[in-house]
Amino acid sequence: MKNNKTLIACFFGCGLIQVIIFNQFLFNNWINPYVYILFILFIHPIKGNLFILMTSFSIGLLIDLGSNTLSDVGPIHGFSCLVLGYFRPNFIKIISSRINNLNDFSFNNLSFGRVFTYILACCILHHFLLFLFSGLQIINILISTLLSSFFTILLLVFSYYIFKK
Amino acid sequence: MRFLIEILIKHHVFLIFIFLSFFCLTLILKVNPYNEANALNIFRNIIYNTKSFENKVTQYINLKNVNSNLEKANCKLIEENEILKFENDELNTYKEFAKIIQSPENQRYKFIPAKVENTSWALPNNTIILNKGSSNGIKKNMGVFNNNGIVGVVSNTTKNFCEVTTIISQYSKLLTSIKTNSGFIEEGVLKWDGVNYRIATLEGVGNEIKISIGDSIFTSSKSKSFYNGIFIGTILNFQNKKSSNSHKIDVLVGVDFKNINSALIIIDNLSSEVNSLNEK
Repeated sequence: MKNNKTLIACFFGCGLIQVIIFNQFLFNNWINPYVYILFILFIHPIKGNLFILMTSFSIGLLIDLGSNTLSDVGPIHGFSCLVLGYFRPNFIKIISSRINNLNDFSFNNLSFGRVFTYILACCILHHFLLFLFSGLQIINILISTLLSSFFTILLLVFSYYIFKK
Repeated sequence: MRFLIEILIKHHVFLIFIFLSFFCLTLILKVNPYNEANALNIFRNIIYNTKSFENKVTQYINLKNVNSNLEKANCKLIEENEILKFENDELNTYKEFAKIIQSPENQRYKFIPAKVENTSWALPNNTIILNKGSSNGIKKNMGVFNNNGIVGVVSNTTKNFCEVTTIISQYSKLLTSIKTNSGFIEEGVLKWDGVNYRIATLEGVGNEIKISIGDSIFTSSKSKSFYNGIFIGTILNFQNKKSSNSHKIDVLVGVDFKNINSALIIIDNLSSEVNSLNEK
């Protein structure tokens, strides 16, 4: 995602899809795929760290508004997206150690293993922070993190291959 | 100032991140009271844990001091304990002989109770060391006895201790009186042949005196160190010695020198008078 039009489309598209479709999953009331982090994960790094931070925070707030968590438990999506957006450049550095120029960087050129580790790490970080403030016990937090991460990763990998073509 | 602004510009992403996350966290904690209570609990736990850890560390550092203090206190207590033990021993020995000391008949004699410090019973010349010395008024040639009978005669004194030559010593000679069926007979000299620590021999009892096994032997009034009638022992058996025309008597000594703990020392208040008469 390099140009602004796709970014704006993706921003609202991800938000709407998450609010309208994926928030209705709710296996066992807590296990839920959060696919909107697709937007945060695949912004092109050339946009700059500040831009990534702000957009990820705003999409988090958008989801909070949409899924009614802002008034119930506070901006938990906003917080977890903010943290994810802040640490995303570090993850990118790890998976793209050979590329010096960020212009040459593209998610399409990476091998599947690297992309998968990237998605896995980001997903688990985001979900853990998300469930940390949901008022569950620590074991339940870990369980719901793992199960939700499983569904999210599944959907993210599918969508990655769909958008790659 | 410029430097500060440079830092702010350089780390603007981090600062914005901190600001926004702080904003989010305050909202999260404020909106949901459960989260607020939880967070407060966690912070409190952290504070208490650090305090207790600090306490533990300071206690551990202070252990050396505490240990030396305890050692000092322990030394003091041991000292006190020793003093109390000593006093207790004194009292016990006094109690043991209280009847003899307090009896009004013995106005002439004073008694000093003493603990036995050291004893021997297997040597040719057996001595006992008592814990009373010249500072308590003990002099040479004073008699020593206890509830079981005669122990010996003081032969040597230091400031705090005295040495007693016991009756089971080859140097000791003791004038005796025998209580026979017909009454007291003042005759005989007690000696020790160095064989058995319980048995002494009595010599100088003529064949004409009728004695029997089990007769008691007491001190004689003629003896310098003792007054009349302190128990010594009983006759174990006797033979007629034809050569010297006297009995050879084995005496079972009353005192068991293996297990002797305390003794009384006799101080004769009038001994100087008696001695001066004897010298004339």
